[in-house]
Amino acid sequence: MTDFLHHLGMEDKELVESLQRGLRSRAVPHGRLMLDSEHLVQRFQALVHEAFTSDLDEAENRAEPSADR
Amino acid sequence: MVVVRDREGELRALINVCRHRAAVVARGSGNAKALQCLYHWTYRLDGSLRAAPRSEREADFDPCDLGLAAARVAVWGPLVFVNSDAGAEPFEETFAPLLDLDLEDHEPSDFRLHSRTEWQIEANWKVLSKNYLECYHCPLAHPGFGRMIKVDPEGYVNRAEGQFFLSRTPLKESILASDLPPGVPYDPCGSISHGTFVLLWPHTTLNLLPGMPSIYVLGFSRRAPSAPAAFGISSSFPGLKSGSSQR
Repeated sequence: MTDFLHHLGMEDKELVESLQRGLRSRAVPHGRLMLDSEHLVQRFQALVHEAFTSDLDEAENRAEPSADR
Repeated sequence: MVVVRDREGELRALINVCRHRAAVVARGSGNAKALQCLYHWTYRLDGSLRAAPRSEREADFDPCDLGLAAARVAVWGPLVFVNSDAGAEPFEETFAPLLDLDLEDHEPSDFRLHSRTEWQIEANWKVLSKNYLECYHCPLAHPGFGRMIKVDPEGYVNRAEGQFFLSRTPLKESILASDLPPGVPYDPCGSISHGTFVLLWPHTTLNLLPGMPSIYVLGFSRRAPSAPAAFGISSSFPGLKSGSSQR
C-alpha cells in the first residue's frame, strides 16, 4: 500500500506541477470547472477568496486609525 | 510552536518563542523536564517561567508575566492540532464531521505513527488542495486507482460542510467477487472497504485506502513566502487491530 501511495503521489506531482506552470503563464484568465465532478474545487476557491478578502478588510480597518493621525 | 505532554499526561501547545529576546526555545523532539532557551531562561512544561538568571537584580521582575503563551490544542486519534488564535472556533466545532468519520471497525485511537516522509513539489498549496478535491482526473491520471475503486461520478461521493471536505468511494464489486484482476496495485481486501479522503481547510488531508487499516496524512505547506514550491509531509498511521476479513 505504501508503494502505491508513493506511486499516486508521483502521478499527482506531475499533474500539479504542470498546472502550476500553466497558471504562471496567465494565458487562461478564467478556467471552466466541471461542477458535477468538481464542486468541492469551487467550494475551496470560495473559502480561499473569503480568507484573502477578510484579511484585506482587517488590514483596511487597522489602517484607518493611523490615517487620522 | 512546541507541543509538550507533562508527567500528569496534560497535553499543551506553547508559543515556542522566548519572552526575553525572542529566541526559539525548544528545538527538535524528545523528553525533557523543562524547556531551556539557548540564551538563558528556562520554562516549565506548563509554559511558566522557572528560572531567569540575575532576575533578583531587576526591579519589578515578575516571572508570572513571562511564561510562554499557550495555543489551543485538539486531539483526534494520533493527531494533535494546534491553533495560535485564542479566539478561533473550537476544532471540534469547525471539524465536527471528522468526529463522525466512518472508520468502519476502527477508532481513531487504534492508529499510531509509523513513518514520515517529505515531498517537494513545484506547485503551491492551493493547487495541491484543489487537485486533491476532485477525482475527475482519476480515470486518466491514476489508472491503478481506477482498477481498484469506483472513480465514476455514480460511485464517488463528494461532500463539503463548512471547512470540512469529504470524498468517499467503495471498492469495485469485481474486486470483492474474484481473485485480484491484473493491474490492481495491491491487495485491497481487508477491514477497510472504502477509499476515504478528507481535507481539513486549508491544506491537511487524511486518507484511508481499502485494505489494511491505515491513515495516511498529507499536509501541504509553503516553504517560503514567495515561492510556489509546497512540500507535503506525509505520515502513515497503521491501525493496531487487523481486520478479521483480511486475506
